[in-house]
Amino acid sequence: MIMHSLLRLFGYNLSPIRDIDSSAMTLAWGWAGLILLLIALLPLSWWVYRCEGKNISDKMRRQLLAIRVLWVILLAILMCGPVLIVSGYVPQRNRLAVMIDTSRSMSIKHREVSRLDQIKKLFDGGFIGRLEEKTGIYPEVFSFADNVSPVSRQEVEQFSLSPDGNQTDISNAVRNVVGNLGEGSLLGIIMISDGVSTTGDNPAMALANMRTPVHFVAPGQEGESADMALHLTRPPAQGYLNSSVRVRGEVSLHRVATSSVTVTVRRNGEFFTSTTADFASANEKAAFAFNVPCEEEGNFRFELEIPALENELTSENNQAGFLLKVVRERLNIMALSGRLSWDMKFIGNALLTDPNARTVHWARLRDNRWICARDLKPEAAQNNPDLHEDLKIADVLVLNSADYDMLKPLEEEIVRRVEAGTLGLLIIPSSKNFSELGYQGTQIEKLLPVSTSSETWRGTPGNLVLPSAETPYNFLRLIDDPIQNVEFFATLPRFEGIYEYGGLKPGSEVLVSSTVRSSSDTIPFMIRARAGLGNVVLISGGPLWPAGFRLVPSDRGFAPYSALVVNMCKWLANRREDAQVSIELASSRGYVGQGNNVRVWVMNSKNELQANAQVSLTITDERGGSTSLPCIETSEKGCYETAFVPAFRGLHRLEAEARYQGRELGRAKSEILIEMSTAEFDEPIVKTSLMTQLASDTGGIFATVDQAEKIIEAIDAEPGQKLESKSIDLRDSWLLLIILLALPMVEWYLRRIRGLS
Amino acid sequence: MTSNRHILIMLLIITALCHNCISAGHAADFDRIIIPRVKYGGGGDWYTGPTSMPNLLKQASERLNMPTQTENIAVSISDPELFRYPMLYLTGHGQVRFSDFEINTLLNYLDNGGFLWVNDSYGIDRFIRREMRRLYPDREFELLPADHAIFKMVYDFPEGLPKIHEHDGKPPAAYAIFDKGRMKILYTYESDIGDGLEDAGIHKVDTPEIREKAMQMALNLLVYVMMQ
Repeated sequence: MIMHSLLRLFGYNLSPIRDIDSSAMTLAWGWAGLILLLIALLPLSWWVYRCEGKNISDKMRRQLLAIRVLWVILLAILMCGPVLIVSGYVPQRNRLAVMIDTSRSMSIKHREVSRLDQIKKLFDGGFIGRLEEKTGIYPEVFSFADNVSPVSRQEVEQFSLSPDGNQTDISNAVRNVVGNLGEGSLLGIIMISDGVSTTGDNPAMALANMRTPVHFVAPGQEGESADMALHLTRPPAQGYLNSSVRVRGEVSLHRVATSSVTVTVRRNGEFFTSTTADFASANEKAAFAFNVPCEEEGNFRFELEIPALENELTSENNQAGFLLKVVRERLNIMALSGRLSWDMKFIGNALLTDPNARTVHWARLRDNRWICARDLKPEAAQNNPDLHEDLKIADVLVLNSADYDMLKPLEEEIVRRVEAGTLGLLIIPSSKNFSELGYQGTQIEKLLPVSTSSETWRGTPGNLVLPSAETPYNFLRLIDDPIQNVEFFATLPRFEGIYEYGGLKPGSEVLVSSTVRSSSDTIPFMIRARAGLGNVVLISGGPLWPAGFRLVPSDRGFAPYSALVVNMCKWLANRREDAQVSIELASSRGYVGQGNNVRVWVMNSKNELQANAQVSLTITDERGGSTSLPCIETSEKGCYETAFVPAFRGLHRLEAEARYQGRELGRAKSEILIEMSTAEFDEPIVKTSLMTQLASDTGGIFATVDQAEKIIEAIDAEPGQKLESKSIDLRDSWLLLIILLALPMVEWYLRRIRGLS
Repeated sequence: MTSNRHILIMLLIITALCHNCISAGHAADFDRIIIPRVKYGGGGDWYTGPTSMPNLLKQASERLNMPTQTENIAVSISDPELFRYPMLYLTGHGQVRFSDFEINTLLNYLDNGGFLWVNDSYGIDRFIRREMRRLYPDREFELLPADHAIFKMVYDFPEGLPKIHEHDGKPPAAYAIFDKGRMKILYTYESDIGDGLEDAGIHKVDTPEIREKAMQMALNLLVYVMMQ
């Protein structure tokens, strides 16, 4: 305190430090500089004020000497640039945040009172006022769900909040609030929520290291009702005429004792089918599945429903829907073989399990005659057949040991159509490598997903490895359960050998890997590349027929192999409504209030990807309201992107228009079904254990609305302060300047009155 | 010093080559086709004509550029290895009998892409028809007309199945069982193509021309099977 007063006396600015904890002085020249300066100044001073031989009293001599030494020392110190570093406590403004969950799960009712209404009751009871009373500050109130928004005092008093957020991200909400509060001493965060976090980071991980206590107030669960929820698992978006798609889902129970639940399916509003989810004993979840035969072209809206219970916690999770587009998929597959092999026989037989598939297989004999089999019906050998006609209608071209001289007459058309996305290319392993087949330096080689700079055949048997259980490609999901699917790939018959290439070309993707290792990594078995708008798949190991025809120790039979081939070819066919403009949607299903990315691919009349086009997307909802959005060009040539956030549920029609230099290039249409997200109701119970754990991890406490007073008591209302340091230049003082001037004057005065010079 | 360095470089090169030899085979070996003969029960001589299939596979490789392995292999229907072979050859002179398990396995094999060629060497007809009825109770052997694709796949046989080996003076006939649009079994009756495929000199009456006809017909069959 004395030091604080002294420094203030000299006029030094200590703000904002109020209470000095420690201090230290340093010199710009260092202490050695001061000593050197004193060694120089003291003799100089002695010489300047040398003895005049007059008699003065000892007292006077000591006084004069003291004044002179003091002045010299002071001067020397000031010349060395003295800096005083003061550490002390700075008062901080206390802050307190209250976060109110306004997601849709807060609309769930317990004894006819919604969770949010319970919070309203708490606020009406003066909760905020008592917090203010305890801490001396009015807490800053935020609502959170999709986003975090500050809530004004007036809004708090009126409690005009509604549970309309489609998702909850607790971790992000806390981070946002802490960021918004700015400087100050954060006494804590009071989060009023049911603990249902449907998106973002796992709150248990994200909040574990928070220093600020987060207190949780949960709505009471008394009288909690039973609930049944319906979830769809990756509903299909597209089906092919005369085939069927499988729809899978799950029913979960909460406080319901039943052995089965009926799932009713409606197509375009009319009853379609019903199925049951059968629960094993003590199991709260049961899967269901049903097939949808695609007998008619068009878009079909499917709605699934389970019965609602009386006084159910929420009925919003009792429905789910999806949009299925059935297309006429006359899949034409053309195969070119440089020699007869069982692999092609396997592929052909697998393809003909689909009634919509048509195959034509051309194989060249050693005497340069060709044999053809249409739909596996062999025909007599012939000379110089016209392959263009078959290629023209082909959706997928399979190359099997096809020499370049076989492909040369077709090369231009193959490359053009693959890049235009109207032809998929499947290359199966050959006894000859690409160099022996003569592909190097050709346009065909450019389509390959691998670099052919080196090609080594590894005659090592190996198994297939699916890189991820959650593969994004449907044709690689042969078994419903993802884990079993991975295991199924691993148990397929071993291939006898595999090609190792010089590397993958940029943009290539390994669809199926293998257990055969190269010097650095495992060798990929199935690789995909995108060539323009089309897809190319290379299978580097083989032969394939053992996988297709040889029984494996499994009761699954051969159907999955056939499905793999058929569905891969459908994917390779990559049908588009418009060759010039095409819409790419991440999913045919979206949710109200959530962004949907839409990509539009644009090509010119030469089927080259078009840069610098003007692309717009018009979205029309079921009510007839339409919105037009410009699409921004992405880093991928010919690809334009935009995003829209739907406000209403229902079918939305998308129409993209592309123009280049004022001229229309083309249009494309697509549809997306917008639904209300049921994520908030997937697990409708109040997450007491999660909130208790989060509170404990952060030093806060958990309480229900009835026990909210406990939180007010727990909040530390001490004024906040923090330790800060400040550097003070000691030369910056008028008083010191006056002292420095006054000392020689005092000495001069004393000398004068004693008759000294 | 320089010579030591050369020796070191040579050693490294040899090591690298050896490594390649060990780890890298040749791709041409990976999908070779073998046609095994069926080792059936009943007492018939399933082993007759051991050189037929190796000769056919050798010619398939030379004339058609097919990857083959020229071995005479026998497999019983109950052998799990059956499914390694996409085509089976059954021949003999007498009794043929399959167990119930073999019937089921053979059905499974044929339904999933396999093919059975039955060559009547002589005296097999009654038994093979009986077993085929057990295999496909609702199907009958269909006589293939002379204009069927199998008679003109690679080599032209305008009159249909050629007569290779004379037994009873009956005309040769090719019968087939079709299922789901695909030929699953071919039964060559009173022709004995298998005899004609054997090494020269085994059957003195088979002239080179006759043997060539047998080989051409067998190659036609092989190509047909490969393409369907």
